[in-house]
Amino acid sequence: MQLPLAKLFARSPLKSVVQQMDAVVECAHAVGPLLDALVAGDQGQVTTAAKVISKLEGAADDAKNEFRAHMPHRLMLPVARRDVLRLVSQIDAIADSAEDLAVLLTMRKMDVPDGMKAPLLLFRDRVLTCVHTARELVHMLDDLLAAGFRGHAAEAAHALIERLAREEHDTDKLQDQLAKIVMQLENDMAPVAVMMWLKILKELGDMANHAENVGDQFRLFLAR
Amino acid sequence: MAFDPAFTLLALAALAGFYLAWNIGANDVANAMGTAVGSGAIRLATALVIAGVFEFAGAMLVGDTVSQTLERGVIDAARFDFGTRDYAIGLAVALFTAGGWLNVASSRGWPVSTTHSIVGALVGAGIAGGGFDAVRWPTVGIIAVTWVVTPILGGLLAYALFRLMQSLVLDARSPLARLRWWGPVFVAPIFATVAFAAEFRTPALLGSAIDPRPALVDAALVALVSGALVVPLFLRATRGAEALSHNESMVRAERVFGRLQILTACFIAFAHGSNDVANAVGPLAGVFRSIAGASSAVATAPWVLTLLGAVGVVVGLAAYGYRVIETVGTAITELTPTRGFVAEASASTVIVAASGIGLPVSATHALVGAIVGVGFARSIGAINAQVLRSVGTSWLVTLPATAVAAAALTRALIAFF
Repeated sequence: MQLPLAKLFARSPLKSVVQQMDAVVECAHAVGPLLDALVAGDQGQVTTAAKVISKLEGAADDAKNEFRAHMPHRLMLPVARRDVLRLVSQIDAIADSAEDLAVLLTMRKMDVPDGMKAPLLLFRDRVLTCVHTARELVHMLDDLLAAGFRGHAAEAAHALIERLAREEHDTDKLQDQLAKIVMQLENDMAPVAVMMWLKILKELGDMANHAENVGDQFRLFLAR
Repeated sequence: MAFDPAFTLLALAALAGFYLAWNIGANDVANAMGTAVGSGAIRLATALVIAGVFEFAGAMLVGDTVSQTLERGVIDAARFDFGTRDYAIGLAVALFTAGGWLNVASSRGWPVSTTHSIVGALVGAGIAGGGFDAVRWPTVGIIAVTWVVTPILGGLLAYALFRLMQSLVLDARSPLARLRWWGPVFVAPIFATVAFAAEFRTPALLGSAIDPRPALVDAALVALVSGALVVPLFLRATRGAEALSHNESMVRAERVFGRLQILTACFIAFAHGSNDVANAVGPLAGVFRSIAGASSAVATAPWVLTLLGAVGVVVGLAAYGYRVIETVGTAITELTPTRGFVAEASASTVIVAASGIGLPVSATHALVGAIVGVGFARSIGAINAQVLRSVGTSWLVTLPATAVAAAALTRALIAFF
C-alpha cells in the first residue's frame, strides 16, 4: 500500500553521515599504533598497522557509498544538498590522508631521530583530538535537526566548531616545529628522508585540516 | 410491492453515496489521523473513536455549506431538467464514478483527492445530461484554483506558525516555562476557528454574502474563553519548569505537545468532516430533492443524509482505514509532536475556513502542504519531493478522468432507462 503521507517522509541521509564519520574515526584511530611502531623502529609492526588502516579505509568508503545510496535527487533537506555532499567528502578525506600516511611509512623504513620522537607523538595525539572533535560535531546532527538548526543546539555546535578551529591551529604549530627539527637535522639525514618527513608531516597534518573543514561545513549549516 | 423506479433510484443513489463515504473514510480520514498516530500522540483505537465523533460533528455543524456548493454549485439544475429522472441518474453516477476512481487510484498509490474526484464527476454528469451550459464553469474554475491555493496556504501557515513557535518557545532556555503562557495562545485559535466556521457558514460560491463581523466577534470571545479555560492545564503541565535543564525542559515540552496533538487530531477530524463528508452528502441530497420533491421529509431534514454520510465515513474507516493509519503512522515517526501539532493545526485551519465559505478542498493535500511548510523551517529530516510531483499530477489528471468516465456512464444510463 502506497500513501502520499507515508511516502512523504524519506530516510534522512544525515543519519548515514553519522555512520560514515564513525567508520572514519575508527580508521583514524589506527594511526595511533602506526606511529607507535614507527617511533619504536619496528617496521614489521608498521606494515601490520598500515594493513589495518587500509582495511578500515575501505570500510569508511563503504559507509560513504551507503550514504550516496540514500541521497536521491528529489529530496528536500533542511540543509543544502551540495553542503552535505561536501561534508561527506571532507569526512572521507580524513580516512584518505590516514591511508596515504600509512602507505608512505611502508615505502621506506624511516628512522625517527630522538629529538623528534616526543613532538611527533604529541602531534599525532593532537591531530586525533581534532578528529574526535569533528566526530562529536557530526554526532550533534540529530540535536541540530530536532532544533531546526537554531537556538540552544546551534549555540553548542558553534562552540564546538570554535574549539575545533583552535585545536587545528595547535596542530599547525606542532607541524611547523617538527618541520624545523627536520631541517636542523638535515645534515644527519639522507635527502630522501627529509623529503619523506615533510610528506609524512603533511599527511598527518591534513587529517586535522580535513577535520577542521568538517567544522567549516557545519558553519554553513548553521548560517542563514 | 410493485417495482417502483423512483424508489429504486433513490436506493441506488443512497448506496452510491454510502460507497463514496466509505471510500472517504478508508482513505482521507485515515491519512489525516495517521499523522497523530505516527507521532505517538494517540493510539489507533483512540484515533478511530476521535475520527467517528468529530467527523460527524464537523459534518453536522459546518458541512452543509460545502454540501450545498456540491449540490447546486457545479451543475446548473435549471439547465439539466431538475426534478427529472435524468438529473437524479446524473448525480448518482457522479457518486459512483468518484468512488470508483478513488478505489482505482488508491490501489495504485496515487495521492488522489476525493474532492477533486466528485467535482470532476459532477462536471462530466452535467455535460452529459445538459450540455456544456449545464456546468457552472466560473464556480468550477474557482474550486479548481483553490485546490492549488489550499496546500500552499496550509504550507505558509505551518511555516509561519512553526517559526513563531521556535522564536517564542523552542529556542528559549526553558521551552517548558515559555509554554506556560504561550500554550493557551497557541490553543485558543483552534477553538475560535471552529466557532467562526460553524457560525459563519455561507456558501459564498452560490452568491450568498453575509456580514462576517458577528461571527468574528463571537470567535474572538470563544478564543478568550477557551484560552482562559486551558490556562490551569498549562500551569499544571509546566510546574517546576524553571528548575529543569534545557534538555529536560525540551523533552517535557514535547510531551505537552504530544497531549495537545489529541486536540489537533480532533480538530483535523472535525475539519475533514466539515469538508469531505459533503462530497458524498451534497450530490445525494440533490438526488433526493429532485425525486422526492423539495417538500419531502428528506429535503426538510437534510441531517438524515449527513448522518448517512458520516456513518459511511466511520464504517469505511473502521473496516479498512486502520490499515492506512498504521501505514502512515509508522512511516512518519519523524514527525515529532511539535511538528505534528503545527502541521495538523495549520491544515485544519485552512480546511475549516474553506468549509465555512462552502469551498470543497482536499484535506490530504492541505496536510501535505502543511508538512512541507514545517520542512521549510528546516525541521524535518528529509521530505521526498517526488510525492509533491505526484500530488501535482493527480490535480491535473483527476478532473478530466472522472469527468469523462461520469459523462460516458450518464449517457449510457439515461439511454438505458
